[in-house]
Amino acid sequence: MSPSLVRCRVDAQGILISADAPLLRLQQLTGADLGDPMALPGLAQLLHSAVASMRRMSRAVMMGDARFLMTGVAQITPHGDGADIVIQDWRSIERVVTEPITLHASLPSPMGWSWETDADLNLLAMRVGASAPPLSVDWDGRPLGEVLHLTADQDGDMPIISAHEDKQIFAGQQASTGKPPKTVHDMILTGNPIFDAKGGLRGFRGIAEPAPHMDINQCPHFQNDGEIYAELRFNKRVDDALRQPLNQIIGKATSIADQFDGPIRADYARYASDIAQAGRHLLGLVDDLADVQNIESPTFHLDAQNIDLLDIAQRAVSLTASQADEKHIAVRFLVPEQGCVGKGEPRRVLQILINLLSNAVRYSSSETEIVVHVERFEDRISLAVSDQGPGISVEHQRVIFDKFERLGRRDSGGSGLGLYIARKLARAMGGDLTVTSRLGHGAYFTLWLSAVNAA
Amino acid sequence: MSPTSVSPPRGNGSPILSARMAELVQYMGTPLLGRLTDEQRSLSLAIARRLVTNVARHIDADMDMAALWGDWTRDGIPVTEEFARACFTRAEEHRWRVATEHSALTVNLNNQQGNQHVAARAGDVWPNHALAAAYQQFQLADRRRFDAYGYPALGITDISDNLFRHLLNEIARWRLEVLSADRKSSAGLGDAVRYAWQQKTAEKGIDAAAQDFFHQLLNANLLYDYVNEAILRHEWPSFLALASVAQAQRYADMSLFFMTATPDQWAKILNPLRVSDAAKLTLEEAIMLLPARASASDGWM
Repeated sequence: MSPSLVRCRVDAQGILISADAPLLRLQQLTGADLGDPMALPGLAQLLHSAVASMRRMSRAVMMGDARFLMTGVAQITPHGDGADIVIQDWRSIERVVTEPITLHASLPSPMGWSWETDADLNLLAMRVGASAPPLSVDWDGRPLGEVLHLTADQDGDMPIISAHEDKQIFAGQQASTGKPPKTVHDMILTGNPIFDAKGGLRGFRGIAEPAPHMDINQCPHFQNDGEIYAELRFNKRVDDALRQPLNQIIGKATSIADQFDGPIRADYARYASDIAQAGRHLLGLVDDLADVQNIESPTFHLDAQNIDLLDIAQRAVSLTASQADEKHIAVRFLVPEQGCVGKGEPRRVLQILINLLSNAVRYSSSETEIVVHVERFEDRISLAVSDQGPGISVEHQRVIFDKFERLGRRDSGGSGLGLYIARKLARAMGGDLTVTSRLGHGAYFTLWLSAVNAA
Repeated sequence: MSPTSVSPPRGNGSPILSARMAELVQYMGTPLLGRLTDEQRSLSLAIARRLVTNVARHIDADMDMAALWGDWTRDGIPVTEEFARACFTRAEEHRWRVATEHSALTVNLNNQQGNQHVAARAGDVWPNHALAAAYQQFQLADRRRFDAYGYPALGITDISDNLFRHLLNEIARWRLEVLSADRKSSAGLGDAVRYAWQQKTAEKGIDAAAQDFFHQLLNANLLYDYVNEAILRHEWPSFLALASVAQAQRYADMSLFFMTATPDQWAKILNPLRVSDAAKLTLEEAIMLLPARASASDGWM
């Protein structure tokens, strides 16, 4: 049983010279002892005020350790040799420490969402991952059960409802973003209850991840489209197996390198930066491999449409401008006076041009120039990227579009798939990708696409 | 032979060395209590980065935020005292919330003086729909002050018009330099900034939500009960919001006041809100959990 009166004394320098056991124990828990300055913050502050003003002061105080919270009314009487402290009505109350809500619990993969509700399960926050299924925008304040279609499991149970009643953690709540014939995304929800300091339920916080069975073929509008289905299924597998963990590695390593959660040693931050860099390289390789898998499929084709190639070339230049700036490389843009509408798929044309520009920047020296030259011929349009780099030998030009061909380089700059993919894509759009170069005189890559005559 | 006096080498005239020496001189000359902890510094900086990104996104969602922040950190962030104060205040509030969130206390204070109140909070039944809606809007406004990963942030509705205008102008200035070769995009920049400014005035932030919540509580005759409940339940955003409206202050200013004032200085805020002794005790204990507090030794407001 706690004593109701606890006493201690400090000298003129504020050093604790005697104390009853309960207070001494708290002092020792802070790492101090008898002979050290008063280390209990609430009491020390009061003591300081009382001694400074040489006035007797009384105030309710709280002190505690990990398990117990001590309350009482402290009376401080300063005198010439220091001060006497008497704490009346000393009581100890056991703390109830809830499970800390870790950040990791609320971090979904790029395929998922994180969410938070109030005590009535109305949505207060909803964060959609970069590759996650979309969600209706007007979720603010609406019941979770209205925004998502919650479904019972095989036993007819709704884990979230039971968890809400029992104020418990839940997992395995099935939900979907809509009902057929609309696009349906099946998700699995897990969540933790959040409590306030009096133990009242404040709400739930959790994540939603795509359901493991969401093999695209669950979605009605994919069932009759074998090609798209195969591509999406492959991409889903790649996401699950490679992109998700890589994204997590990159995200965590970047956070550490940028020291968002607090300072760390500079060399550790550099290591984290290296990890993030290597992760990005691997992610690029995964993306390239996924592209290769798709474009090597016998059924692969691209829907070429009429597109403004000048606009796409400009976008490619602006997207790679920062890379060029870093090396002080000037990018010059030569365009014809008339418009350049060609046949191609915009996303893929952009992908090819970015690849060519990135290569040009990577293999050019600082203070050189890259020229993007768009030219219209009778029935064709050429988009050429030329640089002032070291050039490519004739032997290397013969193999440069081969798969995994890096022309003997062993650095971490690329996967050796970029140009292979670029040429495959160009040809799938009815065009081509060619190279001319002379050692020591730079390289000249040209994307050829069919021109569209103005109406 | 008389001793020879040799001047120590003064460096190679590097401006970086000079800047670092100046920073070190300032750092070493600052009393220990006046220095930022590493946690305060990194948290404030991260909040600044999110705010800049947030404002930049209102100008152009496709802007290269990494390049913007990279340039600014390299050349020096165009910081004003108000900018730094907003980031520091948000950082301190977040540190306080984290410090008290993980340790929920069951304190049976029912027999203590002045705790005769009826519990009134979300999860219990609000007496009318307007109050429930106001509370929900307040919670939503509070949650918007976090980024997608749950890290503390500042929305454009939570900063002053003055600071928003300053950031818009500085970001536009940076963007203009980047786009110097692209006349078409440069010309559109002014319109984008004007549009971003209109968006700011059209949205409601935590201060507006706090106003609604305060007046709904007052109308329902629950204000004083709820203030006490908010403290006892460690619902610091609610408490700070209601205190700020009662004092006709901005939320951020009230937040900074409680992060820095001594308990003696709280009376002018707490007494008009009829805060009980038990709640005062809880508040005092909770604020003590915040390490490296920039406690004020003299008055405020």
